[in-house]
Amino acid sequence: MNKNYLLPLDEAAYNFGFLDEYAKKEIRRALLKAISIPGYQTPFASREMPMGKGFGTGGLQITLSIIGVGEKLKVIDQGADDSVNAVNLRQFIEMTCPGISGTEDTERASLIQSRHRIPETPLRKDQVLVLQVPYSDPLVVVEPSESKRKTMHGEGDYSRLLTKLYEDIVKYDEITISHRYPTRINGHYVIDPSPIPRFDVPKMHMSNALILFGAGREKKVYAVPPYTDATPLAFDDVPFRIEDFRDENGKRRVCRRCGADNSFLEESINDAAGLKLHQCSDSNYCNRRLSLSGPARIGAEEGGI
Amino acid sequence: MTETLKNSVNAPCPHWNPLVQQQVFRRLMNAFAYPGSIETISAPPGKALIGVLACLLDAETTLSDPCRLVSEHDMKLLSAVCADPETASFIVMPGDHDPDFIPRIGTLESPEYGATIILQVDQIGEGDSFGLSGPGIQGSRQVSARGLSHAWLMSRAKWAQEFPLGVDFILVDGKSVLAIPRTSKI
Ligand SMILES: [Zn+2]
Repeated sequence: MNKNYLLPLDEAAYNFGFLDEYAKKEIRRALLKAISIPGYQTPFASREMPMGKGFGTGGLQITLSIIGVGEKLKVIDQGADDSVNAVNLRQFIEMTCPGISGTEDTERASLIQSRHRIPETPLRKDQVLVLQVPYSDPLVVVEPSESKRKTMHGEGDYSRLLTKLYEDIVKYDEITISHRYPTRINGHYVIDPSPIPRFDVPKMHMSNALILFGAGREKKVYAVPPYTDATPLAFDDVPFRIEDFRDENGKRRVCRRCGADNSFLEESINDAAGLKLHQCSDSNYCNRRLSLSGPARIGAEEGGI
Repeated sequence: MTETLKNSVNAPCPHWNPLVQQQVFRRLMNAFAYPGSIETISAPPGKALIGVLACLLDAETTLSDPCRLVSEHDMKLLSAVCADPETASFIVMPGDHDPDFIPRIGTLESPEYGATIILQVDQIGEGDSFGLSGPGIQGSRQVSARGLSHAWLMSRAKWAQEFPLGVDFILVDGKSVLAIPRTSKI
């Protein structure tokens, strides 16, 4: 991403939210249709953004079209608030949207833009989650023609996608999709839920919060509304399963920092000892657990803060 | 700030201010995400309808207002293209006026072409109630609006019977909105 964003230096020269009002209105109209037709990839005229496509420009355009003064914005990349991409995006939004504030705290945020994760802390009705999508159409693997895919989506015809999934199972003995697990929304459209792990897929089901998806390159937005059925594709003999975090003895691995046994863990190898280390991928969740159980928190409470 | 933004901030009616339009849109988006919930929008009394239109419409959109609920002055500022209710993407009608047209319901390939019908009613949250269920609703929700003809609900059921085809309703009174997207079952 270009750190200078090619923005005019004079703050007075650009619009609140960077996008012009026509662009925002167009995305807003698309969003209302996307919510009304859960899982449908609604087209919009994606604009050029001062960063390359593939840096979350679809999610960013949604955020800029709905964000307002007083908003508390959280931006995460693979669970982390402090990664370069997340920081750059948040700084760009803060710079172009005077009056909003950034936060790392999931519970404080009113708007969360994310790549690759849905936060561990359950979302609420007064929050909106925007997910960045690199590839929007799960049918691409079985049908190259977009107009044919649109018909298949409209008819809810996913027989070829299911066949492909089943062939994978026969070949590899299990559903090998680690990310972007095809998920049926409200019993009709199948979506690519963006590269979230399988672990996060069930969080979309009957979510309290509205979840919006933006694909800049493919010029599509789609939505999983709150309290909506989201069912990962599966078969009677091969049910959907989240990632297995059990060790050799069948015990659930825990985070080495905060001890959580219910979070999505990232694995790293300790070079010196060759040991596998596991840690929460959601850094805010991990930090919060640490601060709640650690001495710092107790001191703060005694001090009446 | 751009010139347009400056000008619109100085305009007498707040709904032409982009920052106000953003606030109205968030309430509207909430109304669609949680069908049947009553969302109060920050518009001067009686101006909710124009507030809704102003946060969505521009010269790229078609609007049908057969009963002239929008003033000529506001129509100019909206700059939407006027169209018949049969072809418009947005239709404004009084809720107590029975539907006398067949709106766009979209196609299987492009269901988003189904119209958005904005019904001006007397009072949301009063009058005979009906139950809503579907996406965005935990269980079911009771909804009522005084000044909404039952004929709209009958016609809507016909227009929206084959998902993903259908129309999406926005009910609006003086100060609040309530949405009934095509997925809601009455
Ligand atoms: Zn942890």
